[in-house]
Amino acid sequence: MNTVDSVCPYCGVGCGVSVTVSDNSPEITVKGDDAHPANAGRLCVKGSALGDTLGLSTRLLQPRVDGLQASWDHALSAVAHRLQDTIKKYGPDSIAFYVSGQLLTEDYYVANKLIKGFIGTANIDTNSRLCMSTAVAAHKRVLGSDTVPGCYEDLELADLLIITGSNMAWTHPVVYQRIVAAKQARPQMKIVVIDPRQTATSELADLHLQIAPGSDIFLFDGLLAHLLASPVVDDAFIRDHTENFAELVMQSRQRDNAVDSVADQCGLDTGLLRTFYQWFVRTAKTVTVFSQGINQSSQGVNQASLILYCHLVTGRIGKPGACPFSITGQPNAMGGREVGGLANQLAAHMDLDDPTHHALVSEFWQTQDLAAKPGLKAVDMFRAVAEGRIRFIWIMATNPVVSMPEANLVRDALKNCDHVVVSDCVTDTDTTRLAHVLLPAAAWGEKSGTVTNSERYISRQRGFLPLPGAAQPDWWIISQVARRLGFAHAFEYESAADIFREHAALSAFRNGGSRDFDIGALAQLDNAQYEALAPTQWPLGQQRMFSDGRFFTPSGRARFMPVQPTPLKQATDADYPLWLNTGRIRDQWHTMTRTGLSSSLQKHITEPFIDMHPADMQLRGLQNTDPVLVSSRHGQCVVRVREQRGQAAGSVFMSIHWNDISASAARVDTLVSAICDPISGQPAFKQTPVSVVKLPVSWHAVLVSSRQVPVPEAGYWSARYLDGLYFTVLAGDRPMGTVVLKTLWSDVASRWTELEDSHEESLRLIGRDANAVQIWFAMQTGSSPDVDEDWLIDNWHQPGLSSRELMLGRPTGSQARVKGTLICTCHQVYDTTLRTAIEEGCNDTSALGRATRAGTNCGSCIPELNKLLNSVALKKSDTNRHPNAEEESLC
Amino acid sequence: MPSPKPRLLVVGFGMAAGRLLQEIAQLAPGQFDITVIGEESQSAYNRILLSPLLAGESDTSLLPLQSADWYRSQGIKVLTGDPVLELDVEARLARTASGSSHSWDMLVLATGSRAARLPLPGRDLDGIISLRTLNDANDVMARMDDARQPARNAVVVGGGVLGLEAACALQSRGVSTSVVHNAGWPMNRQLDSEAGEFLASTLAARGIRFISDAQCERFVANQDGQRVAALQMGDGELLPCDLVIMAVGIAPEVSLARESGMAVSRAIAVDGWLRSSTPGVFALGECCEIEGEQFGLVAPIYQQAQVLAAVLQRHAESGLNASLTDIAPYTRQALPTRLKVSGVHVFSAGDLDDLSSLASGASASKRTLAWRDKERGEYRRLWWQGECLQAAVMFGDVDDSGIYESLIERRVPVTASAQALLNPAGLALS
Repeated sequence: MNTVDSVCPYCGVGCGVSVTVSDNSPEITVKGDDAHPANAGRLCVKGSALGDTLGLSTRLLQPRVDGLQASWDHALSAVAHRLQDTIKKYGPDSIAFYVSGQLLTEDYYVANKLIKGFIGTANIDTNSRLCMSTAVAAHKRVLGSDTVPGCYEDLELADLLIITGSNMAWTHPVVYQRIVAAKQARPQMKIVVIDPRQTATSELADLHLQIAPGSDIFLFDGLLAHLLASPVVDDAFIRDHTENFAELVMQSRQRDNAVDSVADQCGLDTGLLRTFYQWFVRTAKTVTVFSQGINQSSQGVNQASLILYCHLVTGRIGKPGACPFSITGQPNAMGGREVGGLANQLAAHMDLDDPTHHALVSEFWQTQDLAAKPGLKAVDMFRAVAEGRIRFIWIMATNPVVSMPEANLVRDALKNCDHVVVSDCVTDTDTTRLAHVLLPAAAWGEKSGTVTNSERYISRQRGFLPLPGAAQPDWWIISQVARRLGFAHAFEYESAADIFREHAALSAFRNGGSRDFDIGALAQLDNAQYEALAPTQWPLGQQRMFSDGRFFTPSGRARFMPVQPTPLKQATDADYPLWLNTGRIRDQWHTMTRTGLSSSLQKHITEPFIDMHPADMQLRGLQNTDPVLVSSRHGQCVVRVREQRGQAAGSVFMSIHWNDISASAARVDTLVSAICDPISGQPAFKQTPVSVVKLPVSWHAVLVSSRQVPVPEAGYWSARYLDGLYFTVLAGDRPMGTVVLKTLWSDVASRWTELEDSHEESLRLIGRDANAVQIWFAMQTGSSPDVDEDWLIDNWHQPGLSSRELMLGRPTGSQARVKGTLICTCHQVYDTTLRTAIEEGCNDTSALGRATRAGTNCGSCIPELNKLLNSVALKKSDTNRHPNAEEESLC
Repeated sequence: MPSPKPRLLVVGFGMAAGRLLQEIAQLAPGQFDITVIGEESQSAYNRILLSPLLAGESDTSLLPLQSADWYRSQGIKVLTGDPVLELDVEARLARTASGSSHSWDMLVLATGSRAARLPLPGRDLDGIISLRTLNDANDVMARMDDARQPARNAVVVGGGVLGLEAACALQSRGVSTSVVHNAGWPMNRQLDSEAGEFLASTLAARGIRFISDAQCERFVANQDGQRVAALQMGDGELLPCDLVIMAVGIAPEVSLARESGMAVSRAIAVDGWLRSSTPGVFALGECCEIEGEQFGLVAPIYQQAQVLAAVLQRHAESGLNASLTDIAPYTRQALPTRLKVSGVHVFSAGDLDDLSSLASGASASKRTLAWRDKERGEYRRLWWQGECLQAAVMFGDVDDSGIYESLIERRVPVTASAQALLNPAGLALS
């Protein structure tokens, strides 16, 4: 037995995990690290299921060049030759790297060094552009550096906690649980959630401001105006530590930002808005947590700036329980920012357009070719690929064909690009499908390095598994290419530790306190010390920044830059009457390449969906679960509609996770416009005008197979992998016959059991090869076949079961039961069980936990448990109040 | 002094008569002076068990419906082996072959049916047997067990239930057996063509040759001109045989009724209370027909026995003009069929006449769902008429046959779904 401390590879909370590897059993257990400052032993549902995701079935284990397996030597030479050839023909600006917040800091550092320092272009951007670049830009503009001022503890210490643009209960569950615990300990602590949707997070709120889509900027502009007119303005702080305040006041006064008109613009009740403003005025310990709802906007930098201003004018920054707090989405978005992995950064929080910084980095890296001008940001980068200005792109650890806005343009751009190199740990993704060269990267559990979380803690991610196949760490792959390009002298790394020391040394190089990011003290770590490095917050030993009121602007003062709130650049109209919002769901991560391997995580939300208010559904003649066609000016998706009363009428919501591997047409970013914030270049993923119409379908089907098989032609399908079986649900309107299906699957099965219907309203097939059941298919008109997935998994290889029983797809007689919706993933507890427990007297989450175990592991489902408790209680009180409700309604 | 009991004469002593006497004993014990006269030498026995008997899976002790003691204790006068040859309905008098006369106040005809015979040349040769009575069965078994010249090759003419049961029995006893059938598949009256194919391949697997759409030409005698030696087919093929079982259906035994001037079409016409056109004369079982429907299966005949017992009791108590309106008449019912062959599970229920005109699933209007597993030899098909199940055919796996029987009989709406076909036990019915 061997226990290794590492960090979870999902969100930006950066929870520590303790991984136990047994010497003589393949079983690997992943638990929360009690000693890690971020989580103190807690893990969310995704982190708890990490052990399920370590299989090799979907892994890329060998390099491939032009579709053929290749040796490393061949593949690396191919990359180097094609890169050199492209530079020769089109110059260094025809090269681009598109990297990821999933890379470790060391990988990131080497990628950035190679392209900016030696290839000589700053065309490196990262998926953090889609996530954090607005916060980065606002921080730099206002604070002078990309610094998150506070720490997680501030969220617990606050008397007023504002959560804006974040469904933390699902996206950052462990920080959310720390807040829940703090609120339980101090019920007087007030929580305000600003979100156009009712979410698991808003369940906790004392005040939920369900604002109109895209109106955040008016809300914070109104707050600033309200503060400026209030006695809470911190004149001394403003005088000593800020600049340009007078202009801020003057401009604010010129705008119509009185409470009434703001409430109107935001679609809010004036009273509620006033309450929020009053709470902010009278609560010194205020923390504003902001995330994608603020960042992913065409005026994100302005609204994030306004949040910073509200804290600056009240002096609420750098104090315990008082700060603005940007919470990041990815495990190492912060590390990427530290090494300068964005196209408009240089390295170590230095700027490309600062000649001092340019000279400093050139000297440190000993290069003459350091890029002199900012490179292309993500959206522009892929546009340049489409237009042939970029001819060579190297994509690492990310899936832009799914995650970029106007994703079909990105797909088409890559299809037509001369050279597409993809480093990934997964064989089949929407992006690897377009690669000319595929390089097998090490995955979580194998690679080793550091990541930085949202509160500036640098933690070691440690490998505990051998590198499988030919997989290699990203830093090794990049360094090998660098050597073949003739830059061996600058890339002679033997380990991640070598790189980390160099990175730390650069952060300290001629710093002398002029730059916020300085981890020079770690540059002397020897390999053993690096290996043993405990989670370390920067600046070293400092929880909070700006406590001294000193900022990293030239003047040392925070800057009030002018901000002009404007309406959204797009509007809904008759053709596209609904606002589409996008985001994560509780149990999935990004494009599901990892979480999709965990059966338990695949049971919470099982298909791509669009959430819609019942009134909007009625208007379109939609029933819950109907497949619908969602269209924007850029693309189309087919997903299932879900009735959500928590969704404002006129607004819809889709998740970001599904892709062309897992569904017929559910890449939500094919719909989203590539409209970006003009400063940060971050796309506005939260507001796209769309239309929704019912997809004409006549039949519904379920396909189960023991390996991946061709999917029959269907207007809609989505697939999941559960305990060794592939489950695909389908719907369509052109009827199918058994002959077509048997032909489609003739490679997989040759012996068939079938159900046929004279009216072609139902069809079932079981296909076997010589040994075992391979395919199970059920189709019918009207509604989806009723299938018990767990039963099928348990009985797939059950020799005693007749084909007829197997074909039914669920237990007969007393075993049959209605399962409902999965609520607790850790203990696999469904809503039906919970409703029964509530009916039987469980009246709070702890009672439910004792009765059913739900919510007793990671706690991610506790908001949903509360919602269930409330809904059952509501139903009860309704019936108590109206014993004759039914009769009354008949009158 | 009590008035004398009404005299009830029952002519025919097969299963219908046997069942009727049981019903009367239960409903109206001691109310009648009963005489029953049968042609066969045994009192009523379970004719259904003749096939298992032939297959060696049953024995004669299991056959009788009631013991001699029971008839005695009920005061029933039993005459066997003495067929009634003549009825005088005016005088209400029956005369038997032995010359005895029996008068009645009420007469029940339960004369059953005879095996039909094909009018082929050579049909009277020795070795051509219809399997109808216990004597027939004994005859067949004697020929198989004949020490000197045991039967080696058999031809069964007719691929219906009885013929197939006989064929399987013979084959299982080591007699090489062929079945010739004048339709496209076995049990075509009860099964659709696909179930028929499953059945035919099962027969083939047992070594039975099944010849469909067969034309029989003539029986060929052996050298001494007495015994059957072969059946010649329309195409000239000779099927060598020393035993022929004729199983081409039954003909109601109606000669007494016809000679007595009672209304007879194909069988003795009776109403739902089993009353013939002659007052005081009733008929039930295979010899009767109700609104054109004839009977060959035991379930409807047992229902008739129940109705008739009540009718007779009413007449005994209130005279022949008594009103019967409060007695529920016989009603038509679903007629499930099961083949009684070990290891061959076939079930059929519902409106079969209609089905025989349907090729599997061919009719555009008729909703049908089928499930097949060729590897395991399992098949089932359901037909709907409107919202209700009309018929069901099962082969191989007949676990749910009782459920389908009940669904068809009760005429409850059943959604045409995979559930109905694969797991009818789980159907939520109103």
